[in-house]
Amino acid sequence: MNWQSPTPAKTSNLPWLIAVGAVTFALGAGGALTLSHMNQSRQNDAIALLASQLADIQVTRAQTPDLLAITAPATPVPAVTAIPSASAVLAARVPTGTPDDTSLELKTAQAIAIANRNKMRMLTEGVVAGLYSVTSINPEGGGTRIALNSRNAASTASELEKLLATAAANGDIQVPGSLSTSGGTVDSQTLLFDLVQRSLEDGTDKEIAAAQEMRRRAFAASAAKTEVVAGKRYYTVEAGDSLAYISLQFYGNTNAYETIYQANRANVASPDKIQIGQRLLIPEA
Amino acid sequence: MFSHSVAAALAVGVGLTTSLLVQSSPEILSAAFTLDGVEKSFRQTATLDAAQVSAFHKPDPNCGPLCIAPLAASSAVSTVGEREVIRFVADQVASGEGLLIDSRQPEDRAAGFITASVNVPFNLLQSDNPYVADILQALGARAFEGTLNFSDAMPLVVFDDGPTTNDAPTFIANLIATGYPAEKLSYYRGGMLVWTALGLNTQDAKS
Repeated sequence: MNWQSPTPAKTSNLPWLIAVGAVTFALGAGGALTLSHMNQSRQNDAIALLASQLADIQVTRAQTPDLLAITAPATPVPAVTAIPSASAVLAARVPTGTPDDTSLELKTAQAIAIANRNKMRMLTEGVVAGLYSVTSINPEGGGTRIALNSRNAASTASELEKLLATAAANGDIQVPGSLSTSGGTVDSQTLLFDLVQRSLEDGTDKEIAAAQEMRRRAFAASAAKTEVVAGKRYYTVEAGDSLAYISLQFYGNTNAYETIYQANRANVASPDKIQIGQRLLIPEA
Repeated sequence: MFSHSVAAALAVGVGLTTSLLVQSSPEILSAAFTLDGVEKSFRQTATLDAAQVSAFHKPDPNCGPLCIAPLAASSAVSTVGEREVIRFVADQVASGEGLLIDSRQPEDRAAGFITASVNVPFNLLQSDNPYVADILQALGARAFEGTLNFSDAMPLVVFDDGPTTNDAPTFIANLIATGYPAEKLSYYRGGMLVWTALGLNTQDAKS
């Protein structure tokens, strides 16, 4: 067989994107959202802990002024079934103080509280049952995004996503820097994806298998284009990308953002500092 | 296609019919391109080498009394002609973005092939070949945990000996079965038979 290896050698022609990126980044940097720079493993631990509590904590929004109630699952509180309205979220807004690691964890915990447990359970159970698809969609504003389409809890998923976005924009929750987009906003869609996946990864064998299937579907659904130069794969950051979302596209989950971050340390100051038009090395999985 | 055009024209009026039938003169194709740093070109001879043309007339004994490949290899795959093949090679193959695939067996290819084509025999893509995923990655697909992503998969133009053989349609069907996006594929149905019947130059293993 006369096989000749392909030699892709495409050149990036996105100077206008870089220009747009510079402007967008400047706007984002001046925005209201402050992002934490917690120790990365602490971030992961915090989210993993919260995800593991999803299945058995019951918290009402009315009782969450005492945030300790969230991280103390033993505290008996009445069950709640409804997602709080956006105004309720606003009402429960935490007074902003100097963010230390403890309060950050609590605020992240509140994200989970906002993503009401029963609704989350409905969502994750649907994923275990295979009642979902991961597709590539074309949102307003151009580009393509991976979307989690729940068949048993479709409206729940989109409501949770909106609540997470609102809470993040209001400073009610602190999200890891890896979920900050190139435009300076919080990637709530990826956050929700992440919460569902993490809650499954710590579960039963069946749930772990479902998490793996979810990784595969996310990987297969990505419309991201890359270029391979000298055997190394590069991706150019697009509007709306976060490091976690890029990780989701190439490794099927958000955890691997650390791999991408470390491979690009020379050009990326921190996980929330990626910019549109920037070329990132994507290490082989 | 033609009957559709006529029907459409009749529906909107006679005036349009004439404009539909007027042919603009085709663009002049560029014959030269660079592949892996080597200057190459397409040439057309003034006279035909009948022996060479007939070498590519290979009706399969298994296809019944008439061996004629369908015009379309698959509903979502476009069928292209020589001009499109030449343009594809000069642009996308030369830049490394696309591949011209010779889907025949190596012994058939030995009789001559289109410059810049690569040989991927159609049967290599059958699902019983354990190396299918490796071939797909060579065509640009990304792999992760046994799953493939085709966003980076290259556009391919696939040919074989010509309309009397079915290697290219089989290759295309096998490739689509793996999940390769049909819109990235084109079928050059004329293949070697029509290519040489137009007096276009070929290459053989020695050249």
